[in-house]
Amino acid sequence: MIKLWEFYKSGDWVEPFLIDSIILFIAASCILYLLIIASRSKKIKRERLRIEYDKLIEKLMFSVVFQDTPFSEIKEDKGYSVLSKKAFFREVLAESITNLHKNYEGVYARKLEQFYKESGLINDSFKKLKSLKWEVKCKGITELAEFNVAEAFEKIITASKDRNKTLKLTAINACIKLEGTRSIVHLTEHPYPIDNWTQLNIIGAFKKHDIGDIKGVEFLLESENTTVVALGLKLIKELKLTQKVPYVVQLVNKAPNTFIKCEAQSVLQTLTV
Amino acid sequence: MRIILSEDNDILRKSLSFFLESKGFTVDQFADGKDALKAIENNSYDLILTDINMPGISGMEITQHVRQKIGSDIPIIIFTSSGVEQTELDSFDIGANEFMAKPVSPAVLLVRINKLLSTRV
Amino acid sequence: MTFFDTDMTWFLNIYMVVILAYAILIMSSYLILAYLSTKELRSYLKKNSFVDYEVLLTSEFAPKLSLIAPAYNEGFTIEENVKSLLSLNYNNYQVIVVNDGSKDNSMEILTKTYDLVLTELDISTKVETKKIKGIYTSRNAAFKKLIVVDKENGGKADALNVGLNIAQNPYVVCIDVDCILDKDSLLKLAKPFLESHDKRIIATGGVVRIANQCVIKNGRLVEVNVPDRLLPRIQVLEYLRAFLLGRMAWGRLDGLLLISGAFGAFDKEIALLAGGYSTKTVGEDMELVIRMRRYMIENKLPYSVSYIPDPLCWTEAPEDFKIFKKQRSRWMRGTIETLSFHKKMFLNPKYKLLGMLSLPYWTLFEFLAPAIEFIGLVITIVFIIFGLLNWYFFFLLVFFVYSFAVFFSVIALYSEERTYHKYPKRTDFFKLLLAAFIEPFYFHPLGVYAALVGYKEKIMGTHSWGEMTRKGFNKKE
Repeated sequence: MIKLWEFYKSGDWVEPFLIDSIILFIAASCILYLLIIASRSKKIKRERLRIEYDKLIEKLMFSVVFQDTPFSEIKEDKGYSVLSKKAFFREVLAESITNLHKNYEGVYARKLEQFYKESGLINDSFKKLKSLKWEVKCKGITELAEFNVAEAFEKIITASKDRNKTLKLTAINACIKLEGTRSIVHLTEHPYPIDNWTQLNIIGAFKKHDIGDIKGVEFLLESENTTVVALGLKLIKELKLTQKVPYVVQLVNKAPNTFIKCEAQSVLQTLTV
Repeated sequence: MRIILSEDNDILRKSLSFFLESKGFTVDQFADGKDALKAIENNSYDLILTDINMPGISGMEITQHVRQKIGSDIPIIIFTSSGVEQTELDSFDIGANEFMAKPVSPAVLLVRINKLLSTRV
Repeated sequence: MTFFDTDMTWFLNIYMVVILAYAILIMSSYLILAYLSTKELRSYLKKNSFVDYEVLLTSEFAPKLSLIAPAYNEGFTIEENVKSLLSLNYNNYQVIVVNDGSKDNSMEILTKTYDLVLTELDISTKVETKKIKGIYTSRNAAFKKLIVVDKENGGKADALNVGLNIAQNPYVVCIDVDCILDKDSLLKLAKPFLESHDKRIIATGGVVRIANQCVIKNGRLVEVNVPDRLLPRIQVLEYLRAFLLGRMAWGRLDGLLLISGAFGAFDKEIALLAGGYSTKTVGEDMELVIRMRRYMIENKLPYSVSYIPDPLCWTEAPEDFKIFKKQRSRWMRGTIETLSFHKKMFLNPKYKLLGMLSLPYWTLFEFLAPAIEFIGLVITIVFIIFGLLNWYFFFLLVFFVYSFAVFFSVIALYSEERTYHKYPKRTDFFKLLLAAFIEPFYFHPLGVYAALVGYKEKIMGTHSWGEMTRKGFNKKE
């Protein structure tokens, strides 16, 4: 220790410290610079590939959707059979057909769903569910939900009980899309508090899937999780579910706290006007 | 029959064009509302198909421009993914003929297009 | 070994060590903040790709907003700016334009363009302001969101307070009327208010970027460019460093002192309870945030301030030195005023992170740094005159600081590359890189000089805001 202090006091450390720091900064700058250049060229290359892939993907997709081309024929396509082994190509393909599926309905959507299953892209999605990274799981869930893969429901329910907010939200929305009112039961048992943003998203998901009467909303009002009760009240208010009013009245009488009581009363006011 | 299609979602735009062209229409496609408007001013189209939300100019503004500034009564179909009822009402107010919510069915779109065009001729 | 060639070694050694220690302290804190920022940023971007903002458009529970835009002599661009404010992607918001006694024809332009008529509005004055001459709304249903207030000149803070009094919605968004907003800016700014279930979010702010030489059409940003002129170009770099490597980290620590006055949202009730904007300072944006935080802490209410790293607002930076000097000296005056109003919080554990870390940091680095540099410069000159300076060490020290500055800018460029990538053109990247090399010689001394002017003005009691002559956003097309 004394040696260190002597060394420090003598001032010998200053010069090497300065010189070493300067070298460190310059070296680090150069490395970062190279990383930037690498990242940029990677992006440019990817863009070029993407444009190339898009051309083929469009050709194939349009023939599947509008010309009833079966998958067996697509498999024969030279370009497809080579590229489909590359992960990036499959990624771009999955994005494109998900995009198309979002915008088309009816028989066209069914054809896309069929292609999704036959081409094996569905397996890619299931694999993503097993990943350790939450963002990969989210991507898988979004794809499976978009293509109405009901078999994935159980696995997605497990994901919805995760701590990670984004994963939780994506999973809940997916469940609502896939099974509608069945997911209400799971929401009732949700262990963590659900913030307002998540609640709004869930309401949005219910609205989109036109679940008319929403059987079972009243179960939300009985949950032990007060945020779920609040969600139930918002649903009833926004979707104007006047047939559920008796349950709201019940809630006012045995509300767990004043906040819930006020919210319930305000719902009653809006709906009984 | 010449149709102008204004939609910023690339694959959707290209696939709709493909579909309509396979049914015998000539389709001019644009990803930007401003470019579409310029084309409308310089060419004559039989029908306008536009998305409501686009970079540059919105579908509503295009409709407004066509109805008021140019004073034309070309049939206009607006489509959107928004689901907001007010937007629907607003677009009819401004002069659109039809409003289609996404997801769309190309077959239904075709029927509507033909209906609009036949009532014109 | 000693640094200097005389018997004053002891004093001079201490001095050198102090300078070095200060430099190392700043550098390490910058690096720590940069690390935290980048981590937080990457996490945010990943989450953001799964966010559906449309939900806010269709839900009746989305936060209702009142935009407040004070305007002073903005006649040149006011029509286009207000139009872009009215066409933002959001439901349920109102736009309150407060004409702060403009000497130009702003009111005439607005009245004509928006078909304004005098209206009676029932407002209770919660914060004292200068007299309101009239409140106007439009006869045209298409502009029913718009309220225009004509008032006596009272400064930006006063105009904002008028907005606070009139606003009918629970959240206010304070903006500079000439800021170019992204279409989805309100959606992104509003979301954080919904995201916490145990703490009350009292304010949210986003990233401000420089719009000089960018292409603007119809009040929307269409093309991003890096300015050719050095002064605005270096400011682009400076903003990148500040927002990407600094604010994000403070946001994560919840120690953010400053929500940019150009674009920020506030919980109206808390803003009013805290007393509204202070007209006694030119740094009213930072001062309000601190006062609101202080209110929550003193009343033991759990709260948080949110920060969104998305570039939501693009603003014009000063292009010539005179205006730049006015802006920076005003910032320095604002800093001095704010820090002195709240000196009670300094190193006071009652104020937790704010008092123990944020305020001391701001005081030591933002406030004192120019002074310390200037003193250092003076001492160096004195040494040179007396032949006491060891030139070798002097240059070593200078190079040490210079190489760090360039290194830190490169970190900012790297972070920008890995996150937003708003400057994809290769020439733009090299322009910024070149700016990093030139900045310490050209821009930094200017900044220190302007800050010193700020000290002087504060001591001499100057109060003015200085006028920013608008050039408008017209890039050579």
